[in-house]
Amino acid sequence: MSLKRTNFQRVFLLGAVLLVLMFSIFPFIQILSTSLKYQVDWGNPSLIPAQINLDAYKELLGISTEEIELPETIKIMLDSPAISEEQRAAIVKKFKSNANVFPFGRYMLNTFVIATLTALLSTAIATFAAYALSRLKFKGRSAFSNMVLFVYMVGGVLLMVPLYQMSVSVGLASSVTGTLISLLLIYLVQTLPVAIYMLGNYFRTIPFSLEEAAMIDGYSRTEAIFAIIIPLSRPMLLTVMIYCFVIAWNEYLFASVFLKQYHDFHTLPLALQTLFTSKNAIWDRIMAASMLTLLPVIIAFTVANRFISSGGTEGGVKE
Amino acid sequence: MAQVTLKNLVKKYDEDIIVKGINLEVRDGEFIVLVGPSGCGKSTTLRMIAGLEDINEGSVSIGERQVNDLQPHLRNIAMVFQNYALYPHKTVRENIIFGLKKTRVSKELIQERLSTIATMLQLEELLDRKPADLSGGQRQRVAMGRALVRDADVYLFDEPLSNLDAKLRHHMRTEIAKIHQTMKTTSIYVTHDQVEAMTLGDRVVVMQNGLIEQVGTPMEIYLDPVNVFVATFIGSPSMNLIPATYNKAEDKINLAELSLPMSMLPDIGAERLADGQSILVGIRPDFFEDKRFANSIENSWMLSEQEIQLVEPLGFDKEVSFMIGEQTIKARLDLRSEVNIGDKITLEVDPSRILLFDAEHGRRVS
Repeated sequence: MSLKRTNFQRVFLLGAVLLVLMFSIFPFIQILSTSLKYQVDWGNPSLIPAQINLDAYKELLGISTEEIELPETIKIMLDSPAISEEQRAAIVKKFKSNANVFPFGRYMLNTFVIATLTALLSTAIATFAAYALSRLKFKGRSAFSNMVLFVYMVGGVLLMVPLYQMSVSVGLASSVTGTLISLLLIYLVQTLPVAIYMLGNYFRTIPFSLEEAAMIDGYSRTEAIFAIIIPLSRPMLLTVMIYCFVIAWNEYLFASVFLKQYHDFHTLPLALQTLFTSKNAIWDRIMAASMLTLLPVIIAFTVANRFISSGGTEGGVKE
Repeated sequence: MAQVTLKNLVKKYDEDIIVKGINLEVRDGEFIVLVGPSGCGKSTTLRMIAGLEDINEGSVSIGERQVNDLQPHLRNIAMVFQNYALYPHKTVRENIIFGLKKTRVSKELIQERLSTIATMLQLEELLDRKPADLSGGQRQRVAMGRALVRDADVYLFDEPLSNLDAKLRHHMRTEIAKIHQTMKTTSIYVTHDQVEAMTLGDRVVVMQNGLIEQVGTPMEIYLDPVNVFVATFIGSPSMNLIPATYNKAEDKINLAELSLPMSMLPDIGAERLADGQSILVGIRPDFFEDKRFANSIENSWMLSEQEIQLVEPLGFDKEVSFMIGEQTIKARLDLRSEVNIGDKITLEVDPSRILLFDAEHGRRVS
């Protein structure tokens, strides 16, 4: 039986692939397109802007050169002799600053710090957990291995109130630091199962004899993990780290509960939602903020994609 | 260097008893080979000595200290793995000195030892390569280099040549023998290849089903096996085992149409045999000689006019097959015996090379 495709089959397959591709990336193209359009162009269904408008990006990134007009009432207040020069300069600075439009830099930093801490801690803890589950023999290993995934059986919506109450009960929710710690712990719980699962599967592909050889060579098991297992697992460790980073970066539900009262510590997903309902909910600004939020995720996935591969142990053992 | 002592060593996996209580003493500087079929427990025994498997019962001692509960990295042993187990992310140089870096040896001494081992194993040109860029034989040499560069008490070899082709295996066997001659290290070598066992070991330990069948020098194992298993496992082709019965009245052994007087076997006490007892007469193929060219043996056992069923030329030797009753018997003859299928020749055997085994239990009758 010939497996060669006919021209019709080829065209059909290509068409189907293109359709799925367009369906998947169209929303992102729409976001990008709208973020680059002037207001008059927003109603234009064409994906290509009539004129490129970078003002929204400049405002969000704080590099706008447009002079902000002071309100009349403020001008009158500034003319008052009772205000000192320093006070006058502070008032002018505050009103001319566009940071309060959407302090994107601040929110991005918040999100970056939380996501990075989550990624690093989750990967570190998951490395040892995955090693134990994939390499060591102990009672209950199988049960524990299965139970790790139970975390995903209960939806976040059901957990957010009880978890917040727990945080209040132990006194963490009463301060910013405590709240951030609570959020970090929740993100760890959310990312650890998948990190353990991915790393465990990867560790199983590394031959036991490599660690055994290291232990015979005078290295304790822990030393063998650092000397052999971790270097061999670098690609997967990076992939897991990026994956955990992305999960934490995109997380909205728990951030909306725990950080609601702390505006300065909002993460990007939470801030974006606030932006959508604020007076600054202008389409180009919303889309530009969405694009800037998406960008680290796209970069992270692109980097991770290069490392999702095996072959690190080639040549080590006879297959 | 140190001796290794195994006392009543037992290994179980759930209900399966893999090693059933073995006792062995490996002398300081000795090269001992554990040989046996797959699944006999030889590798498990080696791994218990290394500390890579827990011990269920019994003890392992290296030198004066019992090491049952000692982690592998504290036992001061070196090991060559069957599948090489080279660190793929390290170069050959880094692989070899990896264990040395853990000790308090100076950098100069490390370089010196690396240089010695690299020269011994012809690895000088390969030091900067990674394992993926090496052939099987090169990888095995690196694995050996990694073990030999260390100053360990005991060196363990877990079927290191099993993944090599026949020619390379032969070459590496010679290299290992030479290295042992030079270094005189206490070595425990596991193999299923009886040729390796016979050529490398100072002593050979034949194992089956988790037990030691016999311990002895290669020639003791070859000439004086204690049972049918050892007799047939060692030696290629296998020892011929001819079914026979003992006739007490005539004090002879009947093998189909042939008979073997017990008077030819003075070392075997006939009183140990019962009338009509089924026995197996064991004769190695090498011990048959063509009467035309045989050295004069006093009182040899003659097998007259044996019709040759098959001739297998092997170069210098040939293997010929003939029948005693229903049993096919193999004999190894040299170049001088020009025989063809259908020829009838007279063979003779030195009676001191004839062994008797109890047919029921397989034990040697001596």
